[in-house]
Amino acid sequence: MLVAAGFVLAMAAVLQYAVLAHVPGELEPGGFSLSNFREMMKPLYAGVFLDTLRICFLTAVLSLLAAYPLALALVRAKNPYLKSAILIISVTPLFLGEVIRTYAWIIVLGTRGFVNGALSWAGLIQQPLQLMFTETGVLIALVHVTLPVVVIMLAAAISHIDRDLERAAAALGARPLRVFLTVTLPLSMPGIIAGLTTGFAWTFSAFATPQLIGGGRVNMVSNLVYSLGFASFNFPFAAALSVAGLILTAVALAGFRALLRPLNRVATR
Amino acid sequence: MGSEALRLDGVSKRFGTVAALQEAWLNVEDGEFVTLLGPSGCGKTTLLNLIAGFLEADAGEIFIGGQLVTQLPVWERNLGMVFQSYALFPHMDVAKNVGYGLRARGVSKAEAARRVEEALALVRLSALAGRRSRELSGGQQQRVALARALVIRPRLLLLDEPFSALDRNLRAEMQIELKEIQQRLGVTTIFVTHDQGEAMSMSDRVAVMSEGRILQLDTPEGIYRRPAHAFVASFVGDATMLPGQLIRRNGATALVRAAGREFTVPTAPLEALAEGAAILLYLRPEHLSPEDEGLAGTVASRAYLGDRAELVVEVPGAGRILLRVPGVEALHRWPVGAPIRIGFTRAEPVAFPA
Repeated sequence: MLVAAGFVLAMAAVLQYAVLAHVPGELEPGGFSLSNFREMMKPLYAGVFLDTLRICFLTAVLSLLAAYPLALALVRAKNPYLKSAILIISVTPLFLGEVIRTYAWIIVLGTRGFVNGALSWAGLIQQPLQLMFTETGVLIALVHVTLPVVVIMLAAAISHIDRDLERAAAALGARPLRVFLTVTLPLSMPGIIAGLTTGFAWTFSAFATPQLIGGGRVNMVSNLVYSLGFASFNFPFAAALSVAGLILTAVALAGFRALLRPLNRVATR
Repeated sequence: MGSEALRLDGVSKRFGTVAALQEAWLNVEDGEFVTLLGPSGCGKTTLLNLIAGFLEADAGEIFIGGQLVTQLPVWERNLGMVFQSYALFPHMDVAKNVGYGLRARGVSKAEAARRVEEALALVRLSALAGRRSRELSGGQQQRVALARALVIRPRLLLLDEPFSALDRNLRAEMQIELKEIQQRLGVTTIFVTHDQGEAMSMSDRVAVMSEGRILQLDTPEGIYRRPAHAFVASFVGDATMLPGQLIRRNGATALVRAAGREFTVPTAPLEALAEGAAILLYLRPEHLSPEDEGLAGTVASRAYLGDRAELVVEVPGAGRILLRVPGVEALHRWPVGAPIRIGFTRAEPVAFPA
C-alpha cells in the first residue's frame, strides 16, 4: 500500500510539473502553462517519438525472431546439457544489469571490436563497419536486453503445446515444416503476443543502451527526458515528455494488441 | 482371410538399458482387429509407436501391406491414429480437424469437403462440423478423432487406449460403435489397451504382452480357455491358483494333483517338467459350482453383484478358492460361515510350472 501510495505521489508530482512553465535560469518552475505540450509538437521532438516507436517495434520483432528458435530448442532439446547451455545463453543476460550488458556491446561493436575484427580477418570488409553511435548498433544491444524475457515467455507457451498434437499431424501425413506452420506456430501465438508486447514496452523504457551506444546520435524518449532534465534543468518540459511517453506507450500497446487480435483468435483454446 | 496387412519380423526396441520390446513377431490379416493387451510398461505402446513410425526399431523389420516401412517416416506411412488424449487441434473446428490429413495430401477442396462430410456422417457428427473441439463432450471428441483418422483411408487404424478417458457407460457404447464402423469399413485395426474386457469383446485376435514380449497371440477364446503362460491365465479373467504336483503326462493331456484331487490339464505348458514336480493349478471361478460331492470348505466372504455373487471359500489344506454363483442363490444359501462343497465337473483347469 505504502509503495503504491508512493508511486501515485510521484506520478502526481510529474503530472503537476508537466503543466508548469519553465523559467530559464531557474530551478523553480513558473505558473500553469500548456506550452510544454505545444513545444513537443516541434519536428525535433516529434521525431524522437517516432524514432522511439520504430526502435521499439523493430526490437520487439527482432527479439521475437531470435527468441523463437531458442525457446523451441530450450523446450524440445532432449539432451540435458544442450538444454542448460541454451538456458544459460538465453536467460543469464537477464541477471546482468542493462549497463553492464551495454558496456559489453560497446566492446563488441566498436571500430576495433570483435565484430569488425572478425569480419576484416575473414576478409569480408575492408573498412570497419560503423556500429557504435548508429541505430543498428542500438538495435543489436536492445535485442540482447529484451531477448531473455521473450525467450521465457515463448518457452512457457511452447511447453504448453501437447506433443500428441504434432504427432497426430505427422501421422495424418504432414511433413515437419507443415506440422510446424499449421500446429506448433499457431499454438505458440499466446507466447508470441506476450513476447511482442513485453519486448515493445520493455524497450520503451530503455535508457542506458541508447544513451551509451547511441552516444547522442540515436535518441529515444528517455534520453531526451534525461538531457532536458539533467543537462538543461528544464524539469517541466522533461516531466511533460515523460507523461507524453507514458501515454504513447499505452496507446501503442493498445494499437499493438488490436493488430495482434486476429492472431490471438487463431490461438484461443 | 485376405492378404497380409501388417507383419513384424523380430522387432526390438531398447530405451537405455531397458528392453522395451524384445523380438516381436506378428502377422495381421487384412481387415483383422488385433489388440495388444498388457499392463502398463509391457511394451504395447512402444510396439504401436514403432508401427506408427514415432519410434525407430533397433532390430527387425516392419511391413505394412507388404511394403517395407522400417525406415519410412511417419508422414509417409498412411496410417490413421487415434490418441488416448484424442489430440484434436484446439485451433481448428471439427471439419478442419477431420480435413487436416486431406489438406496435407493435397486433395482438392471439393473432394476434401465431400469426404469430410462423409466421415462426419459415419460417426454421426454432421451437425457439429463448425464446433471447436473444446465445445465437445468426451465421446464426441473421440468420434472426431476417429473420423479424422479414417477420412484419409489409412492402411491401418491404430488406436492407443482410446476409451480410457470415458466413463463406463459411454465406453461400452463407443466400443460397440467403433467395432461396427471397423467392420463396415473393413479397416485393419491395431488396438492397444490394458483393459482385458475391452480386448476380449472387440478383438478378432489378442496379443497378450508382458515385459516387452508377446506371450500369446490367439483368439479371445483361445487366450481365455487355453492360456499358454501363467501370466496370461492370471491377467485375463479371474483365477484361483492351487499348488500341486504333476503326476504324469499322457500325450496332449497331463494328470496333476491339487487339493487332494486329480485334474486333467493340457500338457503343453508342462512339457519341460519332470513327474512329481510342483505346479500351480488355475481354476476359473465361473467353472466351479456348489456340488454335493465337492471339496468341503466354508464361505469366508461373499460379494453380491446382483446377477451373480462371488464367494471366497476357505478349504482346509488347500487355501482360498473363488467361485461365482447366481446372485439369488448366494443370498439364500451361502451366507458367510456356511459350509459349502465345491464341485469341479465343469472345470477347465490349466496348470503351469510353479
